Amino acid sequence: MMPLNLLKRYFSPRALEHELEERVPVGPVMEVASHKTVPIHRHSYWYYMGGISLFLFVVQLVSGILLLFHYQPGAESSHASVLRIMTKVDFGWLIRSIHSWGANLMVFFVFVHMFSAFLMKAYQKPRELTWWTGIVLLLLTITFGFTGYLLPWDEVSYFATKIGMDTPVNVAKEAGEMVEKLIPVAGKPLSEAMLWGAKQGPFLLKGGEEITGLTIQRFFTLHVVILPWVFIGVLTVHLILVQIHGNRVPKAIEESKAYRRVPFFPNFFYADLFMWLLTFNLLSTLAALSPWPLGPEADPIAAAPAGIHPEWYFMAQFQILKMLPELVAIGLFTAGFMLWALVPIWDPATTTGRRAKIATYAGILAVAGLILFTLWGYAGLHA
Amino acid sequence: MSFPVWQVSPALNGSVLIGVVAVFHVFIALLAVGAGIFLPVTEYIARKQGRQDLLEFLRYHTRFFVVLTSVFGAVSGIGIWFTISLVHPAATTALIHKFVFAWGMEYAIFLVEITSLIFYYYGWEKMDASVHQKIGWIYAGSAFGSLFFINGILTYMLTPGQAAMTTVTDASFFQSFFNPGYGPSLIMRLLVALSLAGLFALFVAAKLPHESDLRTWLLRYSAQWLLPSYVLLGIGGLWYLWTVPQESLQALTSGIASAGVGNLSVMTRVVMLVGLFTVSISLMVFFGPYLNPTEFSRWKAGGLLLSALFVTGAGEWAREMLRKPYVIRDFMYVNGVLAATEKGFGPALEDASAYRQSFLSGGGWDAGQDAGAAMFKNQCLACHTLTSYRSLREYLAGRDEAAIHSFLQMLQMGKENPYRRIMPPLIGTPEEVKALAHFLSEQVHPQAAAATAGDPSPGPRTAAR
Ligand code: HEC
Ligand code: HEM
Repeated sequence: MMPLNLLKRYFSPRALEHELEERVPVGPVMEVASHKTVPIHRHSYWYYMGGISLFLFVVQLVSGILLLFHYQPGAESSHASVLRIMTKVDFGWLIRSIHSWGANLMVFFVFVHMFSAFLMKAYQKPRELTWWTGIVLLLLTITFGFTGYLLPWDEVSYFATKIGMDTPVNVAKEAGEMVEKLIPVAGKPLSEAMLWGAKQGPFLLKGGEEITGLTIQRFFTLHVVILPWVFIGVLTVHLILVQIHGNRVPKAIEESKAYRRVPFFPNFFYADLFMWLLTFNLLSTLAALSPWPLGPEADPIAAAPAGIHPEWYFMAQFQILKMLPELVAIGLFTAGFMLWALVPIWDPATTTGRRAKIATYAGILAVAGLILFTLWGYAGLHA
Repeated sequence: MSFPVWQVSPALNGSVLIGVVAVFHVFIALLAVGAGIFLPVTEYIARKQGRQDLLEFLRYHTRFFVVLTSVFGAVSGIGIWFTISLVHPAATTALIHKFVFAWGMEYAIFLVEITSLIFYYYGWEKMDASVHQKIGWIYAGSAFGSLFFINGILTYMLTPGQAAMTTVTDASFFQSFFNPGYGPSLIMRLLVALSLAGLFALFVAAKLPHESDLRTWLLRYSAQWLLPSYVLLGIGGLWYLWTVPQESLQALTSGIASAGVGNLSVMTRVVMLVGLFTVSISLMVFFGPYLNPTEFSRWKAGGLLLSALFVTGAGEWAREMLRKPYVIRDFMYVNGVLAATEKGFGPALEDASAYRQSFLSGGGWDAGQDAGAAMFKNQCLACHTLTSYRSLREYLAGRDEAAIHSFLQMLQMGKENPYRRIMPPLIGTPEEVKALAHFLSEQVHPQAAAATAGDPSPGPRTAAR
């Protein structure tokens, strides 16, 4: 029995914890974490949405790293290497399919998370910074999607990127025409300056006038180096803020006291795990039964194939762009998005609750509008 | 042809219909078997521990199962009979001839099951505890019994082993019934049944008031009904695969190249998903109701049940696929063509001339019809639809009539035929094959067909009866 006792003495969890504590004092951190509680009530399933987004981000990291082992950026090599991943590399098609479906699911759940935070008024004081870091995370998520879309270098990815890159230039052209009409003399140089300005962003991203191998190279750098690190940084701040403030209990529920609190660890953590597994089931079913397709290699000289359209999360904007003059549409987006992002300022926690009501209606209207225009956009493709 | 072929609609063939009905039925039937065991066992525990609240819960739970088994189970069971006899009349006849005793037993046992369930339900208040418990055991026994009997017939279709038929009544009953796949299948089905019973109890228990001790106890208790599956399902699965004929396994390991995307066939991907879901459901039950009963809610239980429904369906679908192109392995193809006829013409699968006998000369149901249409209905429709599931319009879109014709000739090439693991050989004289090619080409390119519609020469017709 001697050896067993020795083993127990030096290798029991408690002994190990002690040894660790002497070198890295994690105790205080664990202490804070163990006090965190999560409110449970009628609407608390919305609290899972941030966690699901987080889980999907981790899935993206892992599957993305696996893809990196075989993907070769470049006008000659991009499409060929993805084709090889799909047909030659064992389970390569599955990894790619998981990464692509995962990206779409992540965007979806980030949107759901954002709208639920909005409707629960989780942006109000003291959570403004949580909201703003969230807005940055949303923009980063969408940029992930946009840059990743080009990388396989197939027909649709090429033309969808082209539409995206041309939009600022088209807007500047329209704006320029208006400026020339309105301002007699200075109009001309002003509109030229605007056009020049609008071209700089796309020019920098594309690495020239056209979408070429250099564009792939730059999108690739953004997608696998810059965005992940920025994302991880912002996400860390976001999560620390959530840790500090805890989850927002909607006002009506707060007042009716119809909720109880459970410890984050282990109760809510296990519940999170449950939801991640459910999400994983969904993701693997989609990835396995509907493998992500790869179109023919991009051919910049060829005409754009019919019905070219961006991914579903740009569909509403795409539809509005089709219906309105580009300038008006872009103006509307910018204004709308600014209002949305700045909601903690125009709807602070007031006692009358009039603004809060307006914000709620705005939120519902935004969700309904997005869904409507997205469906409209898809209907328009087949018409 | 001896039987009419039932084309439900251009978008729906019999196989898809069977699939839908079967998945529903299998889920309910296995749930019923599991519940048949769950209820009396839990009653036994409740009486031993003297838990009145648990007995109360069981009474409520029983009512639900009366409805489930007697209504949904029985109706979908009859639905299965109805569909298989319409879609696979020849195979149904063959199986009835062989297994009439087993089916008779299965009916008798089902009668006992339903009767004991009804007594069990109405006896909760009126009966003496020990009598009620005894009826419970009869219910459990008969629930297991119906699985015991139907399992022999189902497994025979994929793994007849030594008892493969050459004529309808060949080989001894017992050798066929206890075929190589019988043991592992019985174990797997039983494990799934117990798990489903546990999952269902979770769903019902989640609705109990949060404060009650009973809720916590029941959630943790029901979660443990998946325990046997954690331990044995993997082993059972391997044993099962070990008994599956080599050819079918090859279909699993070597993907179907023509599938276009990925390098694994749909079947392989589905089998992978079944394995993955089994693990993830286990983990979900562990982290959910078992470790964390307070935060377990009804809609989470719904997520679990939905995942379970998916695995059951996917597993059954994969089993069906493994059997293809046969409906009864080594005896009859899905389209009713007898493998035995094929063997009767010299060395099996090697001599292509075996397939050149006339398919339509027997006359029968399709007498007087367009020969191409008759060939299609009898030999392709079992697995393909024109427009949706495995759509021939889609598969053949790139081919003109000549190309379709040479594709069909390939299906007659015996061992050289690259498709022989997934499609039965095509039987027919050169004229019949030509007529089929013409028919398919018309279906695939309707506009071109319309343009030549004025053509006065009709296609060949099948012989009159
Ligand atoms: C036992 C079921 C079964 C029967 C009966 C059957 N097929 Fe198939 N067929 C399949 C399967 C399975 C596939 C592969 C589907 C896939 O790739 O996902 C297939 C694929 C095909 C393809 C596509 C092949 C390729 O490489 O592009 C064609 C064309 C086709 N079948 C025609 C027919 C015709 C014509 C008949 C009737 C003479 C027929 N099949 C009968 C099961 C069947
Ligand atoms: C892109 C990935 C994102 C990840 C991984 C993420 C992660 C999380 C997590 C884990 C939580 C705590 C659990 C919860 O309340 O759901 C949370 C809370 C929160 N997030 Fe995010 N988030 C993301 C994007 C966003 C976006 C786009 C917004 C809005 C603009 C946002 C705003 C918030 C707010 C306001 C909270 C606090 C919620 C509350 O107090 O109830 N987040 N986030």
